[in-house]
Amino acid sequence: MADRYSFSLTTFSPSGKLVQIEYALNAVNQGVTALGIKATNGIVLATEKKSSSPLADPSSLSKISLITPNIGMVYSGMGPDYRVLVDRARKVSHTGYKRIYNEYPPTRILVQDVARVMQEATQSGGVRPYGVSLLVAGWDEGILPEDEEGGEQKEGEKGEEGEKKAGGKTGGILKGGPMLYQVDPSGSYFPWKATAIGKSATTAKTFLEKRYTEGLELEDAVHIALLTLKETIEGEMNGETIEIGIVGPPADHLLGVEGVEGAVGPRFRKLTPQEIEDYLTNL
Amino acid sequence: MSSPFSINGGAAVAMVGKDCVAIACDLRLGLQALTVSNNFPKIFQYGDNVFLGLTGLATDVSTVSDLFRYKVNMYRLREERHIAPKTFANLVSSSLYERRFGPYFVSPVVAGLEPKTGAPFICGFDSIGCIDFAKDFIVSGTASEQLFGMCESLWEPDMVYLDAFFVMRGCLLIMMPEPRCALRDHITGAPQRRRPRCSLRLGRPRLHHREGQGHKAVAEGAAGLEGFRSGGGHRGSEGTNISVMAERAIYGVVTIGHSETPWSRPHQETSHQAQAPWELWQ
Amino acid sequence: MSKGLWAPRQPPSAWCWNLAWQAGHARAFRLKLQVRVASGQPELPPKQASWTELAKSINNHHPIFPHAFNATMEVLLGITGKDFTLIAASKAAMRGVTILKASDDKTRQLNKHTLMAFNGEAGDTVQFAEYIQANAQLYSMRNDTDLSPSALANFVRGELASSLRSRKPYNVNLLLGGVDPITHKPSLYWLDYLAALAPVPYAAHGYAQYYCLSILDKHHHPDITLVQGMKLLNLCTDELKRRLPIDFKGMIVKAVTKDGIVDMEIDNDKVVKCA
Repeated sequence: MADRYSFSLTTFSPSGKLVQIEYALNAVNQGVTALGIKATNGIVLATEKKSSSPLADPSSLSKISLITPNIGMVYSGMGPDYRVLVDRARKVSHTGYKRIYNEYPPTRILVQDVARVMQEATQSGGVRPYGVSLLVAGWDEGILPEDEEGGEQKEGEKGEEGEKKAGGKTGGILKGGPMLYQVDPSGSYFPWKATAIGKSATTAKTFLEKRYTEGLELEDAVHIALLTLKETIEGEMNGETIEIGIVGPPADHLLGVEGVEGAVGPRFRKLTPQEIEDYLTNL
Repeated sequence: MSSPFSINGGAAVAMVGKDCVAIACDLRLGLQALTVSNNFPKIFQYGDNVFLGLTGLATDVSTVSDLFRYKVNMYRLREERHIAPKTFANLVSSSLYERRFGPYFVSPVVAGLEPKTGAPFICGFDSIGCIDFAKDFIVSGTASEQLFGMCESLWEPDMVYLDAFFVMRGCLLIMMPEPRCALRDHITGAPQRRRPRCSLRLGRPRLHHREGQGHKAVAEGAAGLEGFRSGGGHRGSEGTNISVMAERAIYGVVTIGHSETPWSRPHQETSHQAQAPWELWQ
Repeated sequence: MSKGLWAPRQPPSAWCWNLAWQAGHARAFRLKLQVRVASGQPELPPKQASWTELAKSINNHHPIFPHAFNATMEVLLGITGKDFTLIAASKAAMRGVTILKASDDKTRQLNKHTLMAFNGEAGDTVQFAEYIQANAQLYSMRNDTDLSPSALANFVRGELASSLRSRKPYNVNLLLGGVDPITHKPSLYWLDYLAALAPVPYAAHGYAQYYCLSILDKHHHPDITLVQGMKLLNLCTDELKRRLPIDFKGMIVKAVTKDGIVDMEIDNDKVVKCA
């Protein structure tokens, strides 16, 4: 009978709210803080790795995941729900895109696919919403010629091309470049220049508002990320307790092969504990 | 004879020039030796700079072109951008392979310009989606042997787009019957593989894709190509159609070769018939 | 029988339907018999014979033509002119070499401005045509407006194309003629049983193609009047009477104009001498 009558657990309250989704957001707001900052030449994702016991082996714990070679993800909220979403995101990026177009999805397309999965959990029978918010960071290749950025938007504005911003690429499917999205349990998603989710999101966002500037370089962004984390962190900060993922220049050393013509390494990679330590000593 | 690929007949060719591509096809729809229509285009446009040529079974030419119209429209709505030729080629490949055990009887050809670099891109496929990337030219259809011969002898690297136009014209003329022969192959005994009418598109990256200048380019292009006009055809669907794509826009339609049906030809007497057919209606 | 839109001239009476149904079964039975004889075994034919295999097996019997229905002696003709589309169909309903009926109407009116003529396998033809007719009329009822001839042609193509890759495709060749209710532009669409669709100024199906298309190539002009169109049609039917080895029992001729569909008089008793 269970399969015959299966109702959505997320139903409207008389006041027009979906309280299950609000509860899911409460779960997110109790989660460990995670943040993301978009720079001109990349993105940084950072979070704290909290272990419940000093006996736990922190090197086995991982909260930032690679989805496609150019897209990575971090979460705040329920770890198991996040793992399911990482699996779905990796799967859908292939079945829904790579296997069809022989290229990886642009960030927004992947975000929409993951958001769809999360939205379906708010309307389907017998399931509960996912108890996580996500930060998705990715680099898009873009389709506009390098020397004609914004050609589509700037039509009719010839002669003003000298006023282009330094750095130029600000992300998106057309121009290409870095993109940072937040996805919530309701399935809604937002693009950000910099944001934070989780327990101390409000504090972190206030801090980011003060420190963020236009034309930020990736190195500066990593620096700001660590400073922001320092404001909100509860335990000690070191390479073991901090996790950082960056979207930057192609990391050809991660290809695993050499001498293959035209092979480009992944732009998304996680910093090693040693690299994090190095950043921390320079803080 | 009974192969679904050769029932309706038809041919397509695509080639690369210096910073340009050209794609052409005939316009015939036949049933073996019988010509049913002389206005059945086999080239379809799926973006600013993406063209697909489809030869083979006519019903599948329509079905497959409609399918990709749907898929590309959905892509454009989803991604808010035009599809790139390489991406489109992979979409064609995966869509055809989806029907691996009940294929569409078509041999597609893709030609276009990569939007990011303006680099020419052409490729061909078998009916189940295996991609044949090429740096020079791709031929397909029932006249592919003849087209191979013409391309092998006429194609050379880095042709500027008017040269490419000439070569394409040469390739297409090989498929056309003698001007004075009768209109239906089954009457004349004209070789089945001579396809009467063709359409061609030629592409070149943008020079001035800016406001206002597109029209100028079209006008210049059409005027520049007027010299190639060699036949009496005066309608888009008559004679050999050559659409020149440059500046990432279609330059214009130029008709070469002979017109096919009597009513597209200006009043004139045919050699074997003293009374012009028009007099029937006087 | 009234000539109104909602009372088609040949309503699918129970009798007609029964005949069509029986014809379909007779064909299935014949197929079974053939397979049994050919294999010498009392086995049933494979449940799913793909249409390509079917086409191949038919082609083996007709090496010149792609399919048996390209070689039917049932005549369909279509001619467009300045402000009309003429559709003509032979009146003989045939089964093999036997003429079962000499007043068969191989056309159906889809809406006020569109007429469809069909030939092909007995049973499939009327079944498919009336299915299309019903859908065209349903559309007109629901939307208080008629589909244009081109919309209908593409609808028919879609239905025929999906049927083509089904377990049992329809074997129907069609001509669809009409006058656009808004622009008053006449149009004619040629569709074969493979669902290849072509807009044409004039068209034919069956053996008639081989006799009539060259006549039409020579004499047709897009600006002809209805009277000239009938003259042209007579050139074609005369040639058919002269060359076709059977008596196709004359033609039913209908003209689509902006005012609707009218029956055209044609002298079917005219004797045409053959040298």
